[in-house]
Amino acid sequence: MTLIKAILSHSILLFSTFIFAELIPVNEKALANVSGQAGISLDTTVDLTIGNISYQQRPTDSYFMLNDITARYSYVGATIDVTEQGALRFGLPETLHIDELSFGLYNSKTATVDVNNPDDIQTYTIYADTLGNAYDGFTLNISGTSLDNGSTKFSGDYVNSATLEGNRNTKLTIEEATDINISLTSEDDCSSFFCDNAEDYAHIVIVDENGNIVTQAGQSGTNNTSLNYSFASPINNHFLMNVTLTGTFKMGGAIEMFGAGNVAYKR
Amino acid sequence: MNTLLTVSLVIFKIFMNYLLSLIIFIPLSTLAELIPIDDSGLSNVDGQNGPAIGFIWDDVYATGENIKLTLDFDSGIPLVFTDFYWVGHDSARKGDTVYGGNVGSYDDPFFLNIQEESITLTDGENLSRTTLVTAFPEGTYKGSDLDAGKMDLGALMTLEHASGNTDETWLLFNGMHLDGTYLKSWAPEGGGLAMSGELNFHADELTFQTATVNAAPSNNSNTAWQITGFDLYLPIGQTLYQPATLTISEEQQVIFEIAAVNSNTAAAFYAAPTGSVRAENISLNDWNAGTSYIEGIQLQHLKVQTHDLN
Repeated sequence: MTLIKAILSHSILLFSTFIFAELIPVNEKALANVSGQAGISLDTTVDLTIGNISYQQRPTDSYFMLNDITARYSYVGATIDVTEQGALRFGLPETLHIDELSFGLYNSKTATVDVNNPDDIQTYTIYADTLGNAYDGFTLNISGTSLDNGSTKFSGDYVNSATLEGNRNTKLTIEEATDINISLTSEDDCSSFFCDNAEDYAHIVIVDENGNIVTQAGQSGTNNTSLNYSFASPINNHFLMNVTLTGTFKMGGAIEMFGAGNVAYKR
Repeated sequence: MNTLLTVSLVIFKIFMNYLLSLIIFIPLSTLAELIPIDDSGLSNVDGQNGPAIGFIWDDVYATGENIKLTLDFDSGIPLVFTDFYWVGHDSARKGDTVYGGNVGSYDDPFFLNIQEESITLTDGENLSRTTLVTAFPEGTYKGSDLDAGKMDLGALMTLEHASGNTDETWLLFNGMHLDGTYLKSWAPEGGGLAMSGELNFHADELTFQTATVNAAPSNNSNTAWQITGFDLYLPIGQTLYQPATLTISEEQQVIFEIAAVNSNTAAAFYAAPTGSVRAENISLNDWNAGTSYIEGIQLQHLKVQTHDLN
């Protein structure tokens, strides 16, 4: 049995060899029917967006970053070929039409917070607005972090002011990326005849250090409102510039690439 | 006799086996004996830069139509380039029939490769560094007058004012080439990007032409500043003893610095080629400012740092 297996396996191996040996070159007559072409031609349409491309300067934590990259362009007539000298020849497209090529250039740091660097820490102000009557109050509950005074609750009497400056507020300092839930309940603590029981307004507004409203929730006609907000980590992005290119280029010629061997180098 | 013959045959066989063994194993031994050339050995190698990837530009041109390149620095006044061309030298500029220009040849290409070099400083310290080299063709180096490889490059910069007036500035480089320009780069120990190189820029004619385009064309004003026979040769840092570095500070400001020369590097620094600027003829409109040469430029130390404008 072993002998049969050995003969069989050797036969397979030898037969395989004969199969390779049976490769027959295509003769001139057969080749005459084969048509060829010089290289290939490319027409391309691209619609591409990239969030960002960054370069980190190690060992420090700074970055160069191209942000919000958009590339929408098309070209016709590009070619790829190999020359008699063995160089790879890239023929430039006849027409390159750029609908939009744009990006923002930034330098930035990672989310590591230096508590000694004021630029790394962001402080927000949370305004609570209930617009109730003199007997109403409110309670603001926070989860996910704590207020600057260490509490997760902020209570007060009613507010009846149309401006943020007049409203009750508390401070919240963010040192890392945090998901925060804030709920505001306006409380009717009066049941007398003189109270109108008008628990009719709950409004939360979060404002950054520059006075810009980051987010808000609630409106007239609601007694309670809640807000889920993800505070971004305090990455310091320094804007340098935006670059935008549109238009059409008419082009010609080619760029060749090849192994240059030992290039004589005088410098 | 038979015994002698037998012994001879055995000796012959042993010899042949030995010879066969040598033939088989010598190549392996030879390969095994390859020893890397050390720095001192390499320091004797001159004029070779190792295998490279070469590039040539063959008959290349590009002309823009309705081009708009906007650089917005968030200052409220974007910088807008509205026209562009890159064509072969003396090809009637943009707008007419253009032909392409050439850069490099198979024997003298634009190339990329890896290079290692070393030097011994005054105090005997031996420095070596491996760099990525990006180099334009050698050409004839420093102020070539050859038409081969020259290109015309033009860009129109437009600044639109709220008044409706538009400032236009044409930057025209006629008959330019960068032959001899190269850049070496590597990653320094302290982070960032280190580099050294030489800028070798030649233009037959440099023109900075400005115009304020008012609502009434007759009120347009034009100024043309023209330099003919312009050559700029500027060494930027040195690979081994005076690297130029590009880093970002902790305050996220960009710092470009060419290291200071010290007593240990001074000898090598002052023995290196110096920079020069040559302008054969300078004119501003009809006023001719003559010829100007600046020779012997050496950067002992340079530090440029950005700061935010508040």
